[in-house]
Amino acid sequence: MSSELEKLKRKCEEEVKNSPNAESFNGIRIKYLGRKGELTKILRSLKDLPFEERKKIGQQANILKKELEDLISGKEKELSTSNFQFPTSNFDITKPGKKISRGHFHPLTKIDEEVRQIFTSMNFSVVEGPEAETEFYNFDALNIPSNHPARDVWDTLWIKNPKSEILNPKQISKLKFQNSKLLLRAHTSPMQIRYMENHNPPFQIIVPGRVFRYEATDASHEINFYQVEGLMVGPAVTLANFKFVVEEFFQRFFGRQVEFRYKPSYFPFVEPGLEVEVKLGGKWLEVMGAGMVHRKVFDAVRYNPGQVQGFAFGMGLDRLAMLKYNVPDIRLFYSGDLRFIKQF
Amino acid sequence: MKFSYLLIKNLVPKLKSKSQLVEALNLHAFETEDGGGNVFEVDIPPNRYSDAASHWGIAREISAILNFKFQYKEVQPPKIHRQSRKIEPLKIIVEDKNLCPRYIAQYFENIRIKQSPAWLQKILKDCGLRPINNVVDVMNYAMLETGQPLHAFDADKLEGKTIIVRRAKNGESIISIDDINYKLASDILVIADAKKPQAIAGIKGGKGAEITKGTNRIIVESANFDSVSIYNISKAIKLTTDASSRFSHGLSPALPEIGISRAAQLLTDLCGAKPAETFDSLSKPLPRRVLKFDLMKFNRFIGMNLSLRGAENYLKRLGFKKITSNGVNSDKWEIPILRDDIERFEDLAEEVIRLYGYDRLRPIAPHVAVQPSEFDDFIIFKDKIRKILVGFGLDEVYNYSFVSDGEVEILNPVAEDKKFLRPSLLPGLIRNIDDNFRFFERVGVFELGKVFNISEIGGNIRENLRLGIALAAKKDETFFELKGIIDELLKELGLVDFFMRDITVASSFLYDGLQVESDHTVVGYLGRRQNGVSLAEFGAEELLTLVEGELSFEPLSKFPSVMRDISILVDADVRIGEIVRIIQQLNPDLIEDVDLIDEYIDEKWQNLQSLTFRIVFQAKDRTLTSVEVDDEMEKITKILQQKFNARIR
Repeated sequence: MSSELEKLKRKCEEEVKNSPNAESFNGIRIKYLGRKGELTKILRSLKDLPFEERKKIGQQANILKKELEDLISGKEKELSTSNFQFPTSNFDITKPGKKISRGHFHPLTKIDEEVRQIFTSMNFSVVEGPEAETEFYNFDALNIPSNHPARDVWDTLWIKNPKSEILNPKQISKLKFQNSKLLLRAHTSPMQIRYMENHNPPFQIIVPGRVFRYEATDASHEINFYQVEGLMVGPAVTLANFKFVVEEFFQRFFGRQVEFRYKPSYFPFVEPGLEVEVKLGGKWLEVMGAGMVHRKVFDAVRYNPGQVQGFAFGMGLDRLAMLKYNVPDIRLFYSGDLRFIKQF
Repeated sequence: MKFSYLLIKNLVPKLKSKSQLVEALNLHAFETEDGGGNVFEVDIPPNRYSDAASHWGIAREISAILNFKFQYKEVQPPKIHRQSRKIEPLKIIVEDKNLCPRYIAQYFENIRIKQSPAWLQKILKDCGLRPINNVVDVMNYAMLETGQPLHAFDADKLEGKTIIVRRAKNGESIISIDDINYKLASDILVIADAKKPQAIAGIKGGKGAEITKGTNRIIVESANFDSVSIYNISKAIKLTTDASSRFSHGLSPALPEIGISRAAQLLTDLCGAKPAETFDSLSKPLPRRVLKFDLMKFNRFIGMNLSLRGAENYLKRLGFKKITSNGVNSDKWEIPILRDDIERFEDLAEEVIRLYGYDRLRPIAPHVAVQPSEFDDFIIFKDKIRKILVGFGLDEVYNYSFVSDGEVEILNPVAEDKKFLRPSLLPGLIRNIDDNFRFFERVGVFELGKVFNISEIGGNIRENLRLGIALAAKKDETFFELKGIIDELLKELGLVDFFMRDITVASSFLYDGLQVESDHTVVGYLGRRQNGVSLAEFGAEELLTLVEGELSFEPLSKFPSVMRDISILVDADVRIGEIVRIIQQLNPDLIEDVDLIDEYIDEKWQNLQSLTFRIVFQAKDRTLTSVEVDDEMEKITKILQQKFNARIR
């Protein structure tokens, strides 16, 4: 190669090597390979040389042009695409990772999803119901007598409404209930009635949803919170079946072998009625109310008596979340405090 | 309800300890807690007040559970003259037999008022009652033992030597034993003498015929009152007493007899009283109630295989009596007189299984017909929205359903600022931004929740699921980020055909905003507030009905696309959205995408903006020639000049 080409090559390589950033390469390209660039100058200066000589240097110059072009664009690409230099000595892989901002699901959403997943794996369907309810669905149809202290167990928030009717796209308003007073559902149990009015057994469902109570709030009481209702009805669904389903659920939910205790209890819409306790951290904790669906509830939805039986249960989603995540105060769930939400 | 362990231990001597009692009751009967000292507390279910809200009742339960024979001191039933309309020297008239199904009254003479013995006072105190004098204490104590509320009147203070059970007359009032004056509405049942009310029936005694130091002759009332009436009156006059609470739950009409018998015995023993005649308004004996117990049905219901002997044994322990006729056992059982809660087969089943023990019942996997689990559309939809938005870096919040101002009002709000149901998710989200700005430079939150409105037509309550999003940064504008998020969200949800235009209905939450429309339906809004908070709210129902179509694959184009940029200078008040729309509409077959890639405003230009758009051309069936693209660009240039007075740069 002619010494001038050699010189040009070295000069260009030097400049490429020392080039600090991707932007400077265009300048280098123009300077060496442009129409008025160094290489062209050299080629122009060849015009007085013999043809053979010219041809030889011309070929060399073309090869060099390609070489330099590759060198420049290669280096340029390296710098521009990744904007980093492959560090060799000072690349400390123990440095903290870059902060990536991600969104967070509300902890109750996570618990809700987990509960749904376990139950759907046991072939339960998931349905939801309205939050504004009628007295009929919330109480009467569930065999919770009016003018009786039994109803006082549910501290109810009542809705002021001249029309006494709820419009919901999914809800068929029925004439006979139109005079029923309006309230915010105090439990998810009204969906037992709503579901059975429109479906025939056998079936098994869970109903997650927000419920409301007239309550002084504290670390374990809220005016709105979440429940999950369960209902399984068929020709031969037994209390022993209930124990199987509920033990299966809690064992999967808490991810280990859990101890259970069952206590008699009273809910007007079940008979027998009972409460489920699990032992966590050495303590017995109430986690669920349940029982066999009361005959009067089946009567309210006009199921054929004697042909169906089943169980129902209800549990507090907030309480499950508090147990699982060690949350000390139920009010945190509704605080909107992202220091709390971002922990999940 | 508080109970005295001393008294129970006295009734059931075989009991080993209080903890044995508490544990056994918990696992087989009622929720029970150790109350410290001699006290234990039992949560009596609302349907068991008749038989179990008493020491005798608890003694019966625990004896049945632990298989002891319960032998309480038999009390001699008083001599009752069923047919008598009066007892000398008093006349008793029950005017309202619906509100007072049974009224027993017994006359006692020779009373000496003094303090009751220490053991009795102690039991009263353990159960939360205040000792007064021997007569009043006996009334309370007999109630604790039997569950029947009792009341004693000073017979000499009753005007006209008469007791009338009647409804209050207009304008009547009564001063209670604790000196409170109650005006009596006409639906209130009272126990009156010839002149005026002496007690609010089943709730509280009056001052007039109160037992005092000088009392010598008394009338003891042991009655049954209608539970609904007592419940309502007690609520109306805001007075709940031990008696009213018991009557509200409903007591058996058999109970007054038991109560008065025990009271008579105690009055004789502790007050030196001489029992005299007894009046009873009930003329017929109470009917015997009988129920069938079918073991096969029981085992099918519970899911076990209990033996007949086992089941019958539990029923017997609880006081059920098997009916025999001609020496042959039937499967029918007589229900204990106080067990008003036992009405059907399932009630018997509960008695048997709870004594057997729920813990001992073996879990059995149910037989389930295999059919796919179903989900409400909304559940899947909510899940999808959450996943997308969390993917965009937003945090999910749950706010209260209650706000200080809205459309649907609560009759009994817990607080002034929670008087209404939220009409929108935005107020909650705006507060979330404010609250969290104390700790974060940038806040992006969303909520999926129900809102409540009154419909314009018909005035009915509407409950709708909404999605709300709020985005704000202390130093940056966030609106276009929100707009981009919504764009992607709606596309990802499968809403292909939507556009945004200026809001047509002013929103109180937004300074300015756009409404998102699809298929002639407004699906939601987005906008910003003056303080820089960006907000959006969508109706889930509206969205869901519009996106029900499945996503479908479109063949990848085999032909290359051509990209051209155009830079223009237009008036600053020309709206970019409008320019994009005009370009897009020009030739939708060829123009695949229009994007704003640069905008610049130089103060020197005075009210002009420089905009650079990148336009992507693509034909489905051929490679576009540069001539074709030039043609299109020419048209675009022309229309921009015409419509927006644009200068091409």
